[in-house]
Amino acid sequence: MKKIIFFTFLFSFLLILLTFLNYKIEVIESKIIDTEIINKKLEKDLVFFKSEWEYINSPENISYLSKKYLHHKPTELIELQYFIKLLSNERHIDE
Amino acid sequence: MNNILFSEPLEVNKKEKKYNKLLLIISFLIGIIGLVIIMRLVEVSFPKKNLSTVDKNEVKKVDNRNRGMLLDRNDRVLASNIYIYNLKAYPKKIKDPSYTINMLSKHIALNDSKALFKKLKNKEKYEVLIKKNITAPQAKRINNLGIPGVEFVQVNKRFYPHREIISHFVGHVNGNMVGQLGAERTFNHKLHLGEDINLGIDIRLQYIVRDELEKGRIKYNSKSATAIIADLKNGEILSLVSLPDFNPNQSINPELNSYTNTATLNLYEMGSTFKMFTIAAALELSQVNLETKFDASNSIKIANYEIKDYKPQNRILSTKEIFLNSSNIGSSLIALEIGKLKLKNFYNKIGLLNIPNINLTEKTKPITPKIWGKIQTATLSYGHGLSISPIQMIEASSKLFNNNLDYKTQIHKKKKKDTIEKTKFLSENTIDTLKYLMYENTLNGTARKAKINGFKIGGKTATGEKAEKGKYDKTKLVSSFLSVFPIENPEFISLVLFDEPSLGDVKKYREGATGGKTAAPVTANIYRRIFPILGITKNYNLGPELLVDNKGELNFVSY
Repeated sequence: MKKIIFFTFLFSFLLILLTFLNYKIEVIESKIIDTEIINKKLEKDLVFFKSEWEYINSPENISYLSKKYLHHKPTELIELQYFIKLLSNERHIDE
Repeated sequence: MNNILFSEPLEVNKKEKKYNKLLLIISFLIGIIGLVIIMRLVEVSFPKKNLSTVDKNEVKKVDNRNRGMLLDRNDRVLASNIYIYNLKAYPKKIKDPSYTINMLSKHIALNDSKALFKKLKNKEKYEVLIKKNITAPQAKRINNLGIPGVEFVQVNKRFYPHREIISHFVGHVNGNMVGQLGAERTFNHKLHLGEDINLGIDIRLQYIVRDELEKGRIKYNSKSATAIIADLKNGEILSLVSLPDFNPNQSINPELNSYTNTATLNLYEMGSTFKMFTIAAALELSQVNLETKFDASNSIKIANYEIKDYKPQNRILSTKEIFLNSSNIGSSLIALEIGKLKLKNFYNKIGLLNIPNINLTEKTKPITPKIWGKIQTATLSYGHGLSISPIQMIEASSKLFNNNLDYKTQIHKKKKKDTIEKTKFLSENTIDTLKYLMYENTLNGTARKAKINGFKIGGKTATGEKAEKGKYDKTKLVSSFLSVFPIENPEFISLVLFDEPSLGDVKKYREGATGGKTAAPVTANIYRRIFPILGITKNYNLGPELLVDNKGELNFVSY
């Protein structure tokens, strides 16, 4: 009799635990879904900002803006090596 | 008697205790069962939808709307998805249409206010579309006004931030987000699954090439213009421009000329660039060398056809001179020396007789001669009688300068792990001779206008006449320039082509608009701007006097 009572008690306890765990899992699942959706929305926003940035930063716009405000000409043929040479020559003149 | 009197209450006590124990057990069990039932009730009383603010299906919906992005070779966005908003109104819910219109017109431009007023007044209509394609900030501002009876509907739209610059290369989608043209069509399946694709194109080069080509097209008043730059190491297309072009963000009319990708769909009798193939075939078959002489003092007559030179030399020419003077007579004589079968076989090997390999769906088969006789052999040697697309010209020419690498031209960026095998197509000697001829041509030949001081490039000009009603028209030219750079170890190949260019308004100016006068200088202009991006450096052994003007002020750019 004692055994029956004990096992019935244990079974009931496990059942309660299971129910509780089930509930917790569902709460976590729903949180994951919420996070996934927020994530997707953020990804969408990121794509939008990337696209916007790409439009603003397009070579066409950069060229237009640099011409208008900085009076820059299109890229021309220069070379780093020669630039360094020039700098060293200039220093030499200063000395 | 005493015993009987004492034993009765004892038995009653025992029984009572037994009953109490049983009652305790039963009540305990009932209690447990009750607790389980209560717990289940608690669980049931929290419905799933109350736990999550959104439905699981929404995640799937969001996923389905994500078409993959198209990126350039440096991960710059070429095509992406953005949300835009359509503004709708529900006439039944609008009490004062004029107030609604007044409020809206303060924030967005309304096309026809009177017509809209009529629509909003008509209470029988369920809904009225007021304006399409409203941006998110605009929508937010209008929404904050709290106008009754108007609502925004979110729409997912494909967005092309570089507009016309990449129109034919990237293509566009239809209303159902299905690729209709260019890379959007080629990679439709992968993009539909949400995969991002890196294309071989470099948007910086593309912008420069388009900019210079458009300037050229306006200057030479040409019907259309095409430019392609490809990587000789792997066949990737770095830039492909077809003018006129269109804005893929706006509604598209496929019947307009601007919709046609002239680089892959238009077929031209290219002209003298074919001399490159003829001489390559002759060199490879060891039938000529650069000093072999051919009599170009008179025109050649085959049947009723007379082959003449644009600038007759009227003398005996070497193979080198034939190339540098772009002699049709000389080229025909070389072709006849090779023989029709061998020449046809060579043309077939470099892919001039088949459909191009490029992985764009919009491409055309070449128009090949039905009969390949003596006259065809002669005219094909200088690019008449066989119509190919500009991309096919790039593919065939690549085989002459890519050090026998076996690849197919492609619009996407190759993965690093992809290996390219070598074939034994041309001997090193032939390749070196061709490179020499191409370089010489920019120094002393027809391509002098493509020369850039301090840089070694090689190229061949071409001027083909268009055939109309069975006759070639000298006023309708196809002028192009094919070049490879740097010529010592070619890394890139390019083609610039103008369809019916003109050097002025008078008819005679149309006749003179050759590849050397139109496409070659435009190519040089493009190169001046793209060389720094491609990392091609100046050779100081070539013309040091051109390097520096004013060291003191660091004004070292001088061309």
